Amino acid sequence: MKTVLEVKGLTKRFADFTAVDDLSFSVPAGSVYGFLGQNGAGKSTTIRMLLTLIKPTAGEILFFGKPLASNRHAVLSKLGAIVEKPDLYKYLNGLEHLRIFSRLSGIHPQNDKLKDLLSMVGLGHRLTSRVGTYSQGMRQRLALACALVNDPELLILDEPTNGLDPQGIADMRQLILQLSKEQGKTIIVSSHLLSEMEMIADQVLIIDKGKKIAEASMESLLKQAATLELQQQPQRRFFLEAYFLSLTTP
Amino acid sequence: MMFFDVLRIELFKVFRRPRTFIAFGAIAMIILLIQFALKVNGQEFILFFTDSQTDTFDIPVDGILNGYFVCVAVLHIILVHVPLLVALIAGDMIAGEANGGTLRMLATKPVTRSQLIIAKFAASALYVILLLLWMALFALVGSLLLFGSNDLVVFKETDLHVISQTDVVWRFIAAFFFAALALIMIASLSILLSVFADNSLGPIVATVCIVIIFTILQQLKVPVFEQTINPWSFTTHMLGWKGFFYVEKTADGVTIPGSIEQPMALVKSGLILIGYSTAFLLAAIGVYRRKDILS
Amino acid sequence: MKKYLLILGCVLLQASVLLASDPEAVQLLSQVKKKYDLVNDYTASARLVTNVIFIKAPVSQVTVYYRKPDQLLVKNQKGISFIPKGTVHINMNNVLALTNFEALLSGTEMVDGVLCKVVKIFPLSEEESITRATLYIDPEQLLVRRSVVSTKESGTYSIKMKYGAFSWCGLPSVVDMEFNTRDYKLPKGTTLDYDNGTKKAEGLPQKGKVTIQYQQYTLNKGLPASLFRQ
Repeated sequence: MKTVLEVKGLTKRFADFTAVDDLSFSVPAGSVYGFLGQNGAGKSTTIRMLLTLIKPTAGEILFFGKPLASNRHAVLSKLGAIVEKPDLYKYLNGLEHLRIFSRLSGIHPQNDKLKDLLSMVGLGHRLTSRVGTYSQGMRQRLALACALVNDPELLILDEPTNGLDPQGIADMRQLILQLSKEQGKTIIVSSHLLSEMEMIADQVLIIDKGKKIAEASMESLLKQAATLELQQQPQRRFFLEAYFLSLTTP
Repeated sequence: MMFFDVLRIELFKVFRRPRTFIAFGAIAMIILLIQFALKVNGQEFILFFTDSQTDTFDIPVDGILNGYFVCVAVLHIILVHVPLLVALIAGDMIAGEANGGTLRMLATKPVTRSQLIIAKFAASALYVILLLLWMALFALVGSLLLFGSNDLVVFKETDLHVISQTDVVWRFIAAFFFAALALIMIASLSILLSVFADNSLGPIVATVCIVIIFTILQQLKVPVFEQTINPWSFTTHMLGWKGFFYVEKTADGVTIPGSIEQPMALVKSGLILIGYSTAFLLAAIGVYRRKDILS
Repeated sequence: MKKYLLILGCVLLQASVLLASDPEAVQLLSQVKKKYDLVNDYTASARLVTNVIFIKAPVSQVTVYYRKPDQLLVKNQKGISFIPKGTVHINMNNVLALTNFEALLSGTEMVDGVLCKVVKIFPLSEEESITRATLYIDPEQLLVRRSVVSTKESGTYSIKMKYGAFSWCGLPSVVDMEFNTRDYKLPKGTTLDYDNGTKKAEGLPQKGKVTIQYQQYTLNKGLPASLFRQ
């Protein structure tokens, strides 16, 4: 199977602690790759390194078989990302955001295409309203539209359901599945919502204190979880949650 | 091509922000207030400068109070304060985006960090130029309409220069151009400070404080500072726009039309300002390229 | 009796004035005045050159207006000139029109290659603005070549005159006027000057000079008094 992303020995040390420690994983093409970890496990740091926001202390990152360090422009042209809570320009409207981010990606789509994209994420009726008037959920959708504006091969979504109501979460889930299954996009999703991850992820990486704890398909993880004694306890209804907590809680 | 796209985007963002127009509004207000004050109290203002000579000369107060004089007075007052307005925009370029969380969205796009900083610097520079054109409109054109034209009298601490009105306009053009150099240097300093901060207030205040401190050092005329700091302090050279209104005279005391007193000093000041701008910009690029974006 | 004593007193006083003045000086002045009185008024175009240590000014095109006996106005119609207050004394009628004065001959002196008689004039009236004047008179042409005039309020002016086509009525072609100036210095920080390395010349005498080069005279056409009310 073709690998879209390969990470080898990725390490990030700050002055007084190590956020990511010798992390290695690979993301198959066309999959939804779940990225799990407690708060402070190093997920966001890892994602920021993938997106060149942070320089790794050590290790190598290869996108589409090419080193990121020497192919930044080519790689980022094929990526779309939401990093943590999406912050946007409050004084600009949705359409203006898409115009800006499409130009930053080196493309100049027509307005109609941008409007279609906004409609796809459920903002067709608010495209000329200033983002300052958007709810949190609407900003999340606009951020996703900005990530999709260059029709990326790989999407990196850090907490994409943050601030969304249950309907919004369900819509986001459907969109992720649609982008993966129908358009063949590879999607890396970092989330705290293990139940959501259970529903969408094909592969999962679990990290704790910057180190890889587990990397496997969702299917095999759930099988392993099913063999644990934990699943015998009635209050532990969610296998993935149970397995995750067993791995990451001291 | 990508650079020009980024520049267009930065300019678009600058001029879509309501904050940008505060500076234009403030400048218009300040200039109108100064013009009003001089219209009412201009004679007293001129007599303040000529008080020691009223026994010896007939002071042509009405002639001195003309549009060119008012424009120089306006520039004298405003160009001390405009660095704050420039810092308001330039200091926000990186720190404001970091604070707003949009910096990380920009940084994940296939635009190099160098391109981004240079585009932001260029946008700041264009903003400065537009600000100065706006100032020229109100300060020069407006003053000429309100006060008429005549020869320009420039009061220095130890002498005064009378410049024929046929020899004035090009000096204003040169002065505005030089002021643009000075303010672009301020913008580059603000951008450098902005790279270090996650909040735009810090770079804005820091820029203004630096300008104030060096201006005070310069004006104190303490020998140790005059010999060491002042010759290289950018605030010393920021005043270079005034140098276009200092004229040379012959041994007979007659001014030489089209002349500038010590023109090489102006060239040196201009080069120093360009040097500072370049140094600040390169430092900003260097720091930003290595910086981890954690905001 | 009282009446006769009063008349006698006046006669003696007048005699004392005339007896204190040098008759030759008085006669010379009278002859010069007669010449200068040919002009009731004039309008002249001129170039004004200002040479004052703390003023840098271009050559100005000015208009000089004169109305007998002592009204003189130098006006820059299109620009700015700093006119010394003593320019009213460039017209010799200011001195020649004095009525109550002592005049003494004080030898001779060469002025621009012309041997001149030096006449010192001391106004006796307290109300006169002039406290003392020295005229260097060309006895052949009856022209004042140089004058040094001291005033109560505006200081002392040394004026040199050159004559050309209008020497027949005492109107100069070039006037050089020197005068004392006060130091010009503004409080530090007022003007925030740009330091271009120019240093103020120290130790130079505080003197200024203006030169008026007359180009054209229009004589005795009549000028209204209102012109001189500034």
